[in-house]
Amino acid sequence: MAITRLGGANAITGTIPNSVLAAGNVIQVVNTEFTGTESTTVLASGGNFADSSLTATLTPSSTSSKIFVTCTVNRGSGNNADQVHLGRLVHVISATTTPFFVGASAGNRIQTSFGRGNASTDLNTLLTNTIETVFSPNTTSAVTVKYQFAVRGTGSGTVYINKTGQDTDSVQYQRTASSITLMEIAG
Amino acid sequence: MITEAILKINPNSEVVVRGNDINTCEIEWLNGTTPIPVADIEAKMTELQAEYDAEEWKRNRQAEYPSMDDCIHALLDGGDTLTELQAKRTATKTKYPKSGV
Repeated sequence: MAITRLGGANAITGTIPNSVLAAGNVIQVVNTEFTGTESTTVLASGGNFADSSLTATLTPSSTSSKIFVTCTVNRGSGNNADQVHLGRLVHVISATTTPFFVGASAGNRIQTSFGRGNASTDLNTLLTNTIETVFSPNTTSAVTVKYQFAVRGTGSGTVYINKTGQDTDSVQYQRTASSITLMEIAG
Repeated sequence: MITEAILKINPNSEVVVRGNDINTCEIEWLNGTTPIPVADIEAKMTELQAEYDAEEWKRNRQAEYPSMDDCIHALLDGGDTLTELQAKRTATKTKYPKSGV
C-alpha cells in the first residue's frame, strides 16, 4: 500500500476547537505560586475561615468542562492542640462561595480539607499537604478557587502559610512556597 | 510575631496578616474586630521579643541537657552513671547562666 507523508508545504496547520476535543483532554491550565507568608487568628470553631492569597481563577470554555484542582500548602501551627492550622478549599462562582473537598456535615464538627495532624502542634514544623480533586462547575463564567485557613479550637492562637510558628531569623528556619493549579478538562 | 502581638493586646482578635514585616504587611481585621494601631502592635512586638530573648539561657540549656532516656537510665543505675549525668547537667547550667545572674 502506498504511504503518503504530509510535511513541509503539505502540513496541516490550525487550531482544534475545544468543542471537538475528546473528554479528558486538558483545555487550559492556570497556576498560582504563593511565595509570601500569611497568618491568621480566625477561629474555625466560630464557623469562619479566612481567605488566603492562594487563589486561582479560570473561565471554562464549556459548561460540560470539569476543573481538576491541585493545591499544595505548607502549613504552620502553634504549639498546642488549640493552635492547629485547619484549611479548606472553596470555589467562587458568580459571587457565591462554596466549600468543596470537605467532609460531610456531622454535628458540630468542623468541615475541612486539612485537619489536625500528628505533627501539627509544633512551632518548628511545616506540614506540606496536597489536595487533588475534580469538580464540575457547570458554567462558562469565571471560577475562582481559594484556599482558606483557620485556627482549630476555642482558645486563641495563630496559624501560618509558608512559615513555622517559631520564625527566628536564622538558618534553622525556612520559607516555603504553596501553589494552586487549575486544569480545565474537556467533559 | 505580628499576630502574637495582636492577640496579646486583644485575645479575641480575628485577623489575617499578609506578609511578615509590620511596616509593609497588610492586616485585614475580620468578624467585627476593632483595628489596633500599628504603633501599638509594634510596641507589643518589641516587648514580646525582649521576653523571648531573655529566655535564651533556658532554650540553650534544654538543647544540651542529657535526654529524658539518659536521665531515667542514670536514676535506675545510680552510682557513677548518675554522678556523671549530674556533672553534665551542672556543666550545662554553668555554661548558660540565667539571664541577669
